Amino acid sequence: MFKKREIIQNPAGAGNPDLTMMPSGQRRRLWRKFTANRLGVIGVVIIIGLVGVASLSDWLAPYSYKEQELSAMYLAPSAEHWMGTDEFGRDVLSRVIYGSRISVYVGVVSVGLSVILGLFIGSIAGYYGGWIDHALTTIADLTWSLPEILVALLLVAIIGAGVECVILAIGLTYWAQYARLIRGQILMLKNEVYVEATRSLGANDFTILFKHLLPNAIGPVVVAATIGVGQAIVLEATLGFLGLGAQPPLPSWGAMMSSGTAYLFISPWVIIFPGLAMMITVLGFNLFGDALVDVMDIKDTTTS
Amino acid sequence: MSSLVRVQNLSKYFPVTAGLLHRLIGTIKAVDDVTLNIDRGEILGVVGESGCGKSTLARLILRLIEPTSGSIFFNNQNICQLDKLQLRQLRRRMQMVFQDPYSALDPRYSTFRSLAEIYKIQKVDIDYQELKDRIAKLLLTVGLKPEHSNVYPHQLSGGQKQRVVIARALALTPEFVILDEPTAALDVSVQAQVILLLQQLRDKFNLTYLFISHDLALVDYFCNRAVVMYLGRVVEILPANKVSSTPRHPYTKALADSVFVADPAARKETVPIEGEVPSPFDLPNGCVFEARCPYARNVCRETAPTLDEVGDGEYVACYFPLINPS
Amino acid sequence: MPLLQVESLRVRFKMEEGYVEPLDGVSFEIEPGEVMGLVGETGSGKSVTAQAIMGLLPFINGEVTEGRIIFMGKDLLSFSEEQWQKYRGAKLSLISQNPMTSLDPVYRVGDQIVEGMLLHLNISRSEARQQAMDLMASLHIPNPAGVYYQYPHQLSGGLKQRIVIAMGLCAGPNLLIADEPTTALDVTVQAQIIALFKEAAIQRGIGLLLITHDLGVIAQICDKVAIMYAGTVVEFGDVVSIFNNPRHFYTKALLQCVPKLGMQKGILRAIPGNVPSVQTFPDGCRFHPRCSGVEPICRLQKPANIHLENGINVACVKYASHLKGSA
Repeated sequence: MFKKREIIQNPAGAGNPDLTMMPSGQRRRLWRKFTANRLGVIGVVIIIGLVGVASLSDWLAPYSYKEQELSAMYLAPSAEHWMGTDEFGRDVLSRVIYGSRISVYVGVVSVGLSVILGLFIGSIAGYYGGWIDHALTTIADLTWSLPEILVALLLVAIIGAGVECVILAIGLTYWAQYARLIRGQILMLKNEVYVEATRSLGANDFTILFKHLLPNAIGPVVVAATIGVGQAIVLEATLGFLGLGAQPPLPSWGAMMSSGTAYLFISPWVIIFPGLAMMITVLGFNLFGDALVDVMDIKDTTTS
Repeated sequence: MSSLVRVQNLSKYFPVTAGLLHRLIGTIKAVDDVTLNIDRGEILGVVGESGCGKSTLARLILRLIEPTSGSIFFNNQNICQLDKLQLRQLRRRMQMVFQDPYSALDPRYSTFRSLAEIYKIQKVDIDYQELKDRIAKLLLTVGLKPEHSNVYPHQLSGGQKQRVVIARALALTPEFVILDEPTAALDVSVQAQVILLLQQLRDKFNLTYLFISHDLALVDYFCNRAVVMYLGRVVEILPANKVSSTPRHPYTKALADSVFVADPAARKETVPIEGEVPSPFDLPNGCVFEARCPYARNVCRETAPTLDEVGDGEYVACYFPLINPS
Repeated sequence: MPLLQVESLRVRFKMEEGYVEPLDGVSFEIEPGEVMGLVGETGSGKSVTAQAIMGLLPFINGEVTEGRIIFMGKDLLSFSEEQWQKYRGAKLSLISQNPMTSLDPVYRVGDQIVEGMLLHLNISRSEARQQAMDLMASLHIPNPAGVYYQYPHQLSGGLKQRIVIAMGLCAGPNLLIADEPTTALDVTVQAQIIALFKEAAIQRGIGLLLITHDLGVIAQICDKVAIMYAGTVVEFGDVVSIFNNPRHFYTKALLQCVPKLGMQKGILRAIPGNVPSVQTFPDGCRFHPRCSGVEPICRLQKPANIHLENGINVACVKYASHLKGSA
C-alpha cells in the first residue's frame, strides 16, 4: 500500500534489465476504489441487509405474516407491534420482513430471465448485423413499447395472478433493454483486432461470440442488471398494487400498500412502512449500480 | 515453380450506397487487379500510403475477407475454393501478425490462455503437460520468459505484447506469415528488437514473410523485394535495396525522396511531390497516379498501364518508366 | 538573450495512489529564429515538457516542483492564469498531436483561425478574415477563399494540419511548439508539412520547438536537438555534432537502431530491455539497465548535466572529468 504523497517509483528496485513487467495491483486498486465510494458501500450494506432479512425472516419476524387477530385491527405502532397492524390485525413489521422474500425472489428471477433473453438476442443481433439485426431490433423495440401492465393482464388470463405472473411479465418485456445494451457493446467490440486475430486462427463464430466478445461486453449489462433488480421490485409493487401480483395472504409490499389506501389518512403506517422498505431497497441497488459504473470505468450505461 | 503464394488479378471492390433503398452511387476499389508472387523463403515487402490497399490485400490473401474477383494460390492450391474445414486447416500454414499489439490480444486472457486457445481452436490433440511445455518453449523462442505466461496484456510493454502476438502466429509452425505493420505502434528501440527477432525466426523456421509497412527504410532493410502500391494498384515490384537508388516508377521515386534520413548531411532541399493521395472513390480511368505525376502525358489519362516484367522478379506499371528496360 | 530557457525542470503529477514524476532534469535553450527538436520515445516526457512550457500543467493535475522556465526574459512559472491567457496563442503557441481533434467539427475552419486572431489582435473581423486568408495562402493552401468556408471533415489530413498550423501562427507568436505534427500523415505529405514548418519559421523569424520521435525529421530541419529519455534530457546541442558524434550511450544506441534508407544489411542494433514507464523508472541513471557502458555508480546516482566545451550538454558520468561548475 502506498502512503499518500509518496512518489510511486519502481517498487522492485532497479528492475530486471531485460524484461520488467508492470506491477499488477489491479484487483486491489478496484477494491480500494469501490470502498472509497461511500455511497456504494451503503448500497452494498442495504443489499446485504435485504438478503439477510429475506433469508432470516423466520427468526426476525415477531409474528406470523398471516395470523389474523381481528380484535387488533389497525392498531397504531406500539411496543407490541413496532409497525402497527393492518386491516386483518396482522403485524405489519412481520409482513414487511416476509415481504422482502417476495421482493428478492421477483427481483432476481425476473432480471435473470430478462438478462438471459436479452444477452442471447442482443448478441446475435449485434454480431451478425444485416437483416437479422434489423428483425431482432424491431422485435425488441416492439416489446419495449408494450406496457408491462398489459402483458401482466394477459398473463393473468392464461396462468392466473401471482408472483410467477409478475416475473414473466417483467421478463418478457424488459429483456429489450439488455438486448440493446449488449448489442451496442458488441457492435463496438467486434471490430477489435483480437477478434480478427482469433478468426484468423480458425475460430468459428460461436467461439468468438461466447469466449471473447461476451466476456468483454458484459460490463454495462452487469450494472444495468443491478439497477434492474430495483426496477423489478418497484414493478412488482405496481402490479401488486393492482392486485395482479402475489395473492393474499402473501405479504407483497405492493399489495400491502394497495390494501392500505382506503385508510390512508387514518392508519397511514400500513402504507408508509412497506413503502419505506421499498424505497430503501431500490436506493440500495441504485447506489450499488452507480458505484459499479465508477469502479468498472464504464462509459455507457444508457439503455434506451 | 518455387512460388509459395500466387495472387492473380485480385480485386476487392466496396460498393457505396446511399439513401433508403441503398442505391449504388459508386465503388471504392480498395484492391484493383493485383498480381504478384511470393517465393518460398522470401521476405516480400508491401509499401504504400493511406488508401493504397496493402492491409486489404493482406486480409484477402488470408481470406479473412472474400475477393470480388481474381484468385489466390497457396502451394498451387486455389484457396478461394476451399470449404470451411479446409480453410481452417489452411490457417495452420499461414498466419498473421497484426499491427496494434495493444488490441491484438484479448485483455481478459492471460498469455497462457491466449496461446493455448490456438490449440483448442485447431483441435490439436495434445495433453495438458505437453501443452504447457510447448507454450513455455514458444515464449522462449520469442524472447520472453516462462513467468510471462501468467500475466495479462496490460502488464506487458508494447514490445512484449507484440512478442506474444508473434508467438501466437508461430504456435502451429506455419510456413507463411503476413506481418501487417508489426512495429508501427512500437518505440524505435523496441522496433529494432522485434525486427531482429523476426529475422532470427525466419532463419530458424524457414518462414516466408509478407511484410506490410509504410516505413520505406524498414522495408529497404528487412525485405528482399518490395511491392509499391498506390490507390489499390501495384505500380512497381523491385528489389528492396533498389527502391532508393534506382526506382523506375515516378511514385516510387517520390516516395523514396520523401523519406527523411537520420543524417543531417542528407537533408533534402526540395519537396519531392505536391498534393495528397486522392479519395479512392470512383477513380477515373487511366493511371491512378496520373494526377500527381510530373511526367504524365495524354496516354496516361486514357488507359491504365499494365504491370510489365522488366527484369527478374521486377515489374513496373508505367508508360514512361524512369529507367528504360534494356 | 535566448528566446526560451528551460533549466533543471522537475514535474510531478498527482495520481490516485500518490505522485509520479514524469520529468526530472530537463534543460535546454532555444535562440530566436532557431529550430529545436525534442526527441524521445514513449515515457520520455516530451509532451509533458511542452505542457509545462505552456502553463497547462495545473489543468491536468501537474505541477513544477523544481527548475525554471524563462521566456523572453519573463519567468513563466510565476505567471497567473490571467497573464497566461495573454501569452498563450499570442506570444507562444502549441500545436497538438492530432489535427483531427484540434479542430472543432462544428465550425468552419476559417472562423477557427479568426477566433484566435480576434482574441489577441486589436483588429476588426473583416481585417482578421483577410489576414487569415493571407496566412492560409502563405502556407500553400490552394484556394484559401474557398477552403476558409469548409468544415474540418471536408478537408484532407494535410490540409487540416496546415489549418492547425495557421491557428498556431495566427496571432504572430515568437515561439511555436509543435507536438508530433506529422505522425498521423502520409510520408509524402509529411515531407511537405515539415518543409512548411521550416519555411514558416524562417519567414517569420520565430523559434520552433519540434517534438517528435522521428530522427529523420530532426535531421532534416532542426538546428539543435535535445534527446530525452525517461524524463531527462540526456544530451543537448547542435544537430550535426550530435548525429555525427553522439556522446551519450542512449544517443549512440538510438542512432544505431533506426533503419536508414540505403543502409547495409546486418548493422541494425537493438537496445536491450524495455522503455520504462513512469511507474517503473529505475533508480540512479534512468538508462543504466540498458546501457552498454554502465558503471556501479550509475545504479546509485543520477548523473549531473555536464556542459562540454563545444556547446553540447550531456548527462552521463563518463564525462564527469569535464565538470566545470555544471547544473
